[in-house]
Amino acid sequence: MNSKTPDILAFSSENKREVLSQTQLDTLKDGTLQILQEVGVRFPSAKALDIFADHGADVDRNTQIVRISADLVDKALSTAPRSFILGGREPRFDLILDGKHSYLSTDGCGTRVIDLETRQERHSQKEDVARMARISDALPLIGFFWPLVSAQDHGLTAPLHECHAGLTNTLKHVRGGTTVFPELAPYLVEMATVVAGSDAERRKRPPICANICTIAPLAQDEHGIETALVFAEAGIPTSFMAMPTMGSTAPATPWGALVSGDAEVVSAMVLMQLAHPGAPVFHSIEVSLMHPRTGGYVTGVDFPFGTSTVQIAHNWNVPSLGGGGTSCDAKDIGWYSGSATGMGAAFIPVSGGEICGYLGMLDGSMLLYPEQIILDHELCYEVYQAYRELKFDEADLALDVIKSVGPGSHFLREKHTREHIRDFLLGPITEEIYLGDERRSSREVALEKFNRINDTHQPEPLPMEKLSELDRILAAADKEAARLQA
Amino acid sequence: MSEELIGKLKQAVIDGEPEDAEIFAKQALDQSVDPLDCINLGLTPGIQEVGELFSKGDYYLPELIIGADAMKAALDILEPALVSGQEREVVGRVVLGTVAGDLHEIGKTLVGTMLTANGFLVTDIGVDQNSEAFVAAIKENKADIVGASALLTTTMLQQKKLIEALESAGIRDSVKVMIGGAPVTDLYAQEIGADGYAEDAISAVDIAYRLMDAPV
Repeated sequence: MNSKTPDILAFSSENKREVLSQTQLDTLKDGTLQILQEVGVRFPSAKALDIFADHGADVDRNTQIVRISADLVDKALSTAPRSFILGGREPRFDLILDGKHSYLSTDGCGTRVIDLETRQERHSQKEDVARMARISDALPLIGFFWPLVSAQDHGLTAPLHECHAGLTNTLKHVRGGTTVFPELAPYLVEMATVVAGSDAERRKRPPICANICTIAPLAQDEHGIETALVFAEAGIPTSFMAMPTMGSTAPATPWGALVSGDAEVVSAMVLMQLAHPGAPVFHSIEVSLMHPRTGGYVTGVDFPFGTSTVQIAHNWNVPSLGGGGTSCDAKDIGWYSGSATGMGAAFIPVSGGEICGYLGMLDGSMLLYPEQIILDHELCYEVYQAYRELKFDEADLALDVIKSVGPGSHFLREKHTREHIRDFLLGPITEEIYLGDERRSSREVALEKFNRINDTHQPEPLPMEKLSELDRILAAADKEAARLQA
Repeated sequence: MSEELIGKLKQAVIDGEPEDAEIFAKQALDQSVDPLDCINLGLTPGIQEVGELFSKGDYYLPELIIGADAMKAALDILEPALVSGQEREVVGRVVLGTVAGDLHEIGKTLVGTMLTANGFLVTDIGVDQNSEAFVAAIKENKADIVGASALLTTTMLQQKKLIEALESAGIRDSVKVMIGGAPVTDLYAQEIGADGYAEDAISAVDIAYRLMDAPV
């Protein structure tokens, strides 16, 4: 029997906190424009270089560096939509990226999994992606399914299989595209068309979007940027994510890292608009710190990066991916993961990013503990409740009930109590931790909850003919991948 | 007609409507419906269903309490009408109260409700009850179990005094003692010689079943 997928709960952005003044934002923007015009960004793609050259950018074919004038940046970005829809299987799962809502995403994309049965660490597989899509389908705060781990059992077409596992196991929007051989990108578009039902519907309510990472400092990936051009042509929204690391791939100051990452993202967005004006794009910068002794990747830096990056994105008049999230560097579930994810969750409403949250992963987004997504969801739910709109009705003072009960009695027998006691929704962890007299850890309760969803939640499947079509597309893509590898 | 009334009594308990339960109980007696049938076929299955709905998570404590209230409202009418020799089946007889010097009621009331919903006959003697009052109620109701609640570190000592009073009255061997309350622990229960300790109203039912040697 199929399960009902609950409606998505979105955070309101009305509690957004502005950490940067307009003057500071303008200074950052000027810095980005200066980098783009004077230093340039490396685009190792003949196709990209041709597009830039055709539109008057300064293109150096030898170094593959493109320098873009401020005028060209402004002209190109004027066609980028401020608002668009990320479609779900049904309209009630559509995400409207308009700056008024923050939708939570799962984290991605890791490579290691704590096995549900053996509890031993192993490489991630497509089966893990499918399972996490079903779990995410059942959790109302998750609006956007990002494959948490890679389908490493599928080689070159792993991203296509991750997309397939998402589309076939959740009714929610799927981040289905990432950097692949550009020859494989059309298969992802075809999968999106099958699920949407038509080319027009895919453009109107695209069931998948893509994320393409830039390469810090100031470079693009050949396959990434050419894949993005395929998606842009098809109207599939693409976020460009810069991941500058302070001290190694970026200056060792937050503003230096942000302006450098911004230049990478903006250069990619400009290319998309020059090639396909109006293509839906969104902006993302994830800043980290080089561990000063090991050189390792540290995401837990005490700086309001999430809030800043959202403001920077919105200053370019495009939606943002990022702004508060539960992702952290902890290697196991404990005090550190709890405090880091809790603090991250608390920043979601004050950052106001359109897609944020990044639930479910530890160890710098590389390691999946099954129960972590339940714990993260619970934390986010607490924050959601803390920021929900308060309704004030004089009748809710319940003076008549207080008068009726009087001093020294209780309210359990009152009809008013029965009518209102359900107004307070307890999260799954807090609800169950209070039941019974066993001493149980939150982690144990979370794992139990995970297993219960895993055993019982079966979202409405796609129609059989669409499933067959997706299988056919995957088989063709696998064949193409074999040809590319040969 | 009798089946219809018995069904209405059951539903009044499930819906938590004490006033309706009282009206239907009176109508049943007016129409000469066997009061024992009203209890065994109406009220008891009704309160059992309330218990099941609670176990499934559909009902909350307020529904449980009001269901027990509805059952009690009907029983107050029906039980006096039972003919000699008729007696409703119960798992055990329990006297409950909060000890002397302690005015806290809610925990004890919840335990009483849970026990009632699970087939016990509960006599609640209220709050601030000294050991003599407990002993008298135990004798009067032929209680199998006495439950003593204390919410204060200063009043939990009265639970020990109650056990001493039961020994003095020569009835310690005939009644099992359950204690509860926020400051009370299983260890304390063992130290003062109580037979059982329940952390909350739900576990109190398991303890009571165990003390009655009845299957849970």
